[in-house]
Amino acid sequence: MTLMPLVLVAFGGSLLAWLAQRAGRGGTAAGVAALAAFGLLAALMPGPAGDATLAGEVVTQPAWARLFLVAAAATGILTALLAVVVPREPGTEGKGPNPELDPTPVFLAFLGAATLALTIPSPVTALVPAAAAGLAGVALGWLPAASRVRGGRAGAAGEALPGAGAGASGRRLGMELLRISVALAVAVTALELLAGSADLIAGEPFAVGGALLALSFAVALRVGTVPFHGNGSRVLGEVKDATRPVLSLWGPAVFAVVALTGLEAAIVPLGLPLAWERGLVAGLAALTIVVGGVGALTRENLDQLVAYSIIGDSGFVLLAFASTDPAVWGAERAWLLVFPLAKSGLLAWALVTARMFGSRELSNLRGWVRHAPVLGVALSLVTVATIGLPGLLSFEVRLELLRGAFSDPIRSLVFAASLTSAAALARVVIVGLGQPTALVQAAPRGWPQRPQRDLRRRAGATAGLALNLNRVPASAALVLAMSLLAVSLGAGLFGLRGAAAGDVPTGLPGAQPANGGATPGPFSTESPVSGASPSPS
Amino acid sequence: MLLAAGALVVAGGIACVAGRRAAHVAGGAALLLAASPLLADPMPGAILIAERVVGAALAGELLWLALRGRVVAGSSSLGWSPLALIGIAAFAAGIGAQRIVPGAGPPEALGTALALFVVAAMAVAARPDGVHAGLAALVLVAATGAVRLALSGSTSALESLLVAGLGVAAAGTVALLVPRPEFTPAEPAPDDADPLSWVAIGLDAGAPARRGSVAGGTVVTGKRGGGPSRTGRLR
Repeated sequence: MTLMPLVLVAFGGSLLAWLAQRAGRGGTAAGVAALAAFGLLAALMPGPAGDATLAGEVVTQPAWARLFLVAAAATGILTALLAVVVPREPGTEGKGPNPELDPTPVFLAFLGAATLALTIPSPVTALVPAAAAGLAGVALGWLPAASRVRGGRAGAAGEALPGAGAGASGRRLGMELLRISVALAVAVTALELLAGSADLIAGEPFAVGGALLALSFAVALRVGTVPFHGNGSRVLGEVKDATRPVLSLWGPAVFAVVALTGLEAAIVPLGLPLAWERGLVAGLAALTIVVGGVGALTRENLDQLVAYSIIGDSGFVLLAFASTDPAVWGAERAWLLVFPLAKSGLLAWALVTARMFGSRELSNLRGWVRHAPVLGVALSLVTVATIGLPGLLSFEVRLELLRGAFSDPIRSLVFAASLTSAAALARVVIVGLGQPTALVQAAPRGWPQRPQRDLRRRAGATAGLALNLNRVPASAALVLAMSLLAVSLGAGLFGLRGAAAGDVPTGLPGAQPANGGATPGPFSTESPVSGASPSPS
Repeated sequence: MLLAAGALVVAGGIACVAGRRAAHVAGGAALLLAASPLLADPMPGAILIAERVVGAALAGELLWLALRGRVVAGSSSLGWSPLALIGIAAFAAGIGAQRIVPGAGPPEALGTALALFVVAAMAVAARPDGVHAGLAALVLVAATGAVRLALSGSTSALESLLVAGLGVAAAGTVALLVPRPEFTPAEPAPDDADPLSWVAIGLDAGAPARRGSVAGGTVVTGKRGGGPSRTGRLR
């Protein structure tokens, strides 16, 4: 039984890393060690045969969950190393590790909750840890600098101290917490009404449609699709860099995959067409893809550009809820691993680029590719991992999700709209190929350098000097490693295709299977789907 | 018994979102989370109830530590009395709704869930700040647990533990969202200085205070590695 060690390593490591971070010493090292231990344990987790009971609840150890946890741990390690070597902001050079950037407590807390969410097969129960997984980014995402009241005098209770919850970013994070709890409440209520032991509305098409809409609403709220994208796009620019991947990518992905399990277990087996409801969800997803693509294409600020790029591709998450095709089970789960991984690479690229050149405005970054070609390669790889190329898994997955939700010509139009995300990133690369601005030219070059020889200097001091001289190439190398990991999974390596298509959930008690239970869709084979499902359009 | 448990839970929820003092908010949150498992029929075992009570106490403690001394303006524009009346109405409606939506659990749990949903909706309708949005989220977490109890009956021990953990995590998140003041070295520190800050006592009250030294009546709190220091007088 490897579940408890995983959970203990994750939560214990998170607490240890957090306390060490607050003490100002060894937080990153402790966190990276815990993440590495977690990754190893998760990689060694037994396969699907290793079911067990934990405190009255059946737990399984599916292959996809193992891949997800290992990928998230690897992302956490790379992000933590990036936090150590990334160029410092002006005025903070040589002042020890920067706790604002250390992501290890957040990733470990997330991984602990995600382990429970992904190994509990009952979706209603798993939604609780899935919601908790998203809390880590909210809890530790607060920027202390924004929360401080400068010049505030500490006096009598209730008079001089700042009011609770003051500040714009505090409000946005509070709203994120509220969104998580609303999504949890809506999803649990919908699944309970639909397929709980009460078996209340499972036979009523209208009520089943309502439950489908409620479940999709919960996922849309959690993932941040249109019309719930406003807070998410703003909060991304106001929280710690360290918490962004968990807050906007990994946490919502876990919630979405558990909700998808609920959909497959409670709604798909009923075999109802639910054309209007699915059409509404598909329309919302298409709108999200268009708004995200256009937003990314027109933004000048890197944070906003990345935020809209995430919003656009999150529309694909919603497409699975608009489909009647059981094959989307595998496609959606593959997307829910490739998507956070690739966008984590994009966030890392944005962080390093902004720190390297000292600006987040695209107009100031002309010529950045010439100055840092490794970062240019990394951004290109992230784009390939997200959009894919024909023959790669990520490309097939996007097509399959579109096939499940739309029929031509709308499918082709939405597919074309989804390519604006690639166009937005291509625009950044094209800007980077131009004549460098003075700001870009003043930035340190991205090639390794050796410190001057001095035999009187100690080895530790030499290592520190070498690190300070090579922050830019080391950061670029780590971003490149993240993008390579994303491309590998986007290409279907590490058995992602088979792992995503497996473990199809059986129907919940209230759901009546229409065809003797769900079966693995065409996604589990090597060829993409050929027949389009009944489409709401 | 179920009716009393439901009333306690709703009262806790109202105190949590409408309380003007930190003690009311923290106590309300603790009551909300501690009394929730009592809505199950049959009643869960003593160990499970103890787990939930410990979790609720921890959640209340976290909120108390973070909020004491702060101005808690209250997220709801309505006072506790209108909220109580609205909550009672929703509770009664929920009990009646059990006839339309017959779940496996007791009708009091559905009434409680509906009342908590309404209380949370009232709380967020007033454009709350971050902390109060979080407190409303805490009420929603409890409401979700009540929905489970109303429609499915008793839940597994693991799920009960997970709900308790989610309550603590939500309360901890709210506590971390409370802004901390920044003090200059000359300013006195409040009694409720961050309990997790590195604390030491200065050697000499007249000399510049140093971390790790002892002095009469001077407390120095701060972080290693260049974080802001706080200096104040012992009270």
